[in-house]
Amino acid sequence: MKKISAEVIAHFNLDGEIIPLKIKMNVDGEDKVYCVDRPSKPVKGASLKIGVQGNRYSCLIDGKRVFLYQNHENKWFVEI
Amino acid sequence: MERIILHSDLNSFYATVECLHNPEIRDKPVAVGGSVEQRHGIILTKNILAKKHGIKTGEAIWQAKQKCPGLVVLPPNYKLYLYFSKEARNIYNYYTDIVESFGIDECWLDVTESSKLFGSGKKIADEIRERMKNELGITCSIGVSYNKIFAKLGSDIKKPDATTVITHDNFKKKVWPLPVSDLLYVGRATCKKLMNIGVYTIGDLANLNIGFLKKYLGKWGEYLWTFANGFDETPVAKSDFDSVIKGIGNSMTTPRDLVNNEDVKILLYVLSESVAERLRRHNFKSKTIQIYVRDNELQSFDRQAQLSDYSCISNVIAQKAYEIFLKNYTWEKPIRSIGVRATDLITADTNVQLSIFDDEKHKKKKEQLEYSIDEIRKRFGHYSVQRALFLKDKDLNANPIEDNIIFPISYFR
Repeated sequence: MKKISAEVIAHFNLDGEIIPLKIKMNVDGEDKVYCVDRPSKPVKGASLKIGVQGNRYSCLIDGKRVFLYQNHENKWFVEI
Repeated sequence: MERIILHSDLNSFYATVECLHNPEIRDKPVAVGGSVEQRHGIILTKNILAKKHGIKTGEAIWQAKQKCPGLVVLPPNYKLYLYFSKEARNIYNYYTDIVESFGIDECWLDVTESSKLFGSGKKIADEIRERMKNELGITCSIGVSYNKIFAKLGSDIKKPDATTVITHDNFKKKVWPLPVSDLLYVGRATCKKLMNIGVYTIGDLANLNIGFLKKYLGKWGEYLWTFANGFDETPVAKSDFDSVIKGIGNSMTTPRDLVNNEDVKILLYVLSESVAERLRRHNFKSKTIQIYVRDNELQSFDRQAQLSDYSCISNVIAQKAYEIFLKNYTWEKPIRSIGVRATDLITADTNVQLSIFDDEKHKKKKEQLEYSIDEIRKRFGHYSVQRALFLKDKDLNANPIEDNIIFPISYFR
């Protein structure tokens, strides 16, 4: 399991929900942009493996199921 | 109807939150401690691994490091802990609106009514524990019982991440063998007194004659006896229950020892400003000022005096505090920590008796000035307006309001 910080482009809808659309993260020393496919509704969640707590989105990135976390300081992390 | 009360205790709260955010230290003994440079260097919480090395809350960091050389000591991050405490309360609030905090990491929940919706007390407790783990990544132990005291004892029996149920049928087996010092409000002094008459367990206490206990310990004897027998009927206070403020105070352990009157004066002004600001924020005026002084050998005392009139002006409070200090301290030892407290409060807009000897207009003007300073500080920060006195020693200057620390409030209100 790896914890990777990510920049996020998101859609804020009229209900105040945040839906991530694209993320940019650094993989193996290279910045890459990925689409966030089929993001779930956020649930509160914590990952002891990577040490994050906050809103958790389950989504598909590059065809793989991953968790996307938004913590209480509005920082975003990907758990791969 | 029998009440169902839960007491939830977040296990070694600060340390668990730190471990959650730093997975690499999870398998090491971890403690959260104050800053050594600022001389707040004591252990605030430790995790289970550190506990095994015999490290105790409240001991100095250097002592702890002697016991356990590999100990990881982290500085506290109150904002983060407050956030987690609030999130935990959100989970409690899902089950009941009757939640009473006891410090930052403990809560009582009255789920008597909600048990019709969510099932038995044990079921709710297990569900809360599961949610804590999944949603917040921290663990808690929960005691389920029919009164607050046994619920609290229950949460201490099994740690971490466990539910303990104490009922009418099993309390004699579960609670009575516990040492009497585990009971709420049996501190070191009471414990010693009870030992003297051969009371070692809660059961011993419960089986004593109440009349004798009342004679021996006074009013507290009766309370403790009710606690031990499970007759306590104190209700769980509602979540939006604002406790009545009886006094406002600030104290500080200084980065260096105070050695002369000038140092003390600076500090008393710093503390009085913060006390006065908090008085104004809560719309209070105070008549009695107390000071608290602790020297570098940890001997401490409290003294108090009355103001001539109710006031929320920092100058008045500071001058009174300084006056009390000069009267009562002889400088045999340097001072380590000092505090100012304002009690005997009334709301600021109550009608008061004016004096014909004082200049009431001048007083009003001063009050206005202080309110203006509050406004300026609100917009531009605490350090935007300062007393010239504070420039003398920058180390002693601070903003005690923002370094607020949460203590459990009294069980009796």
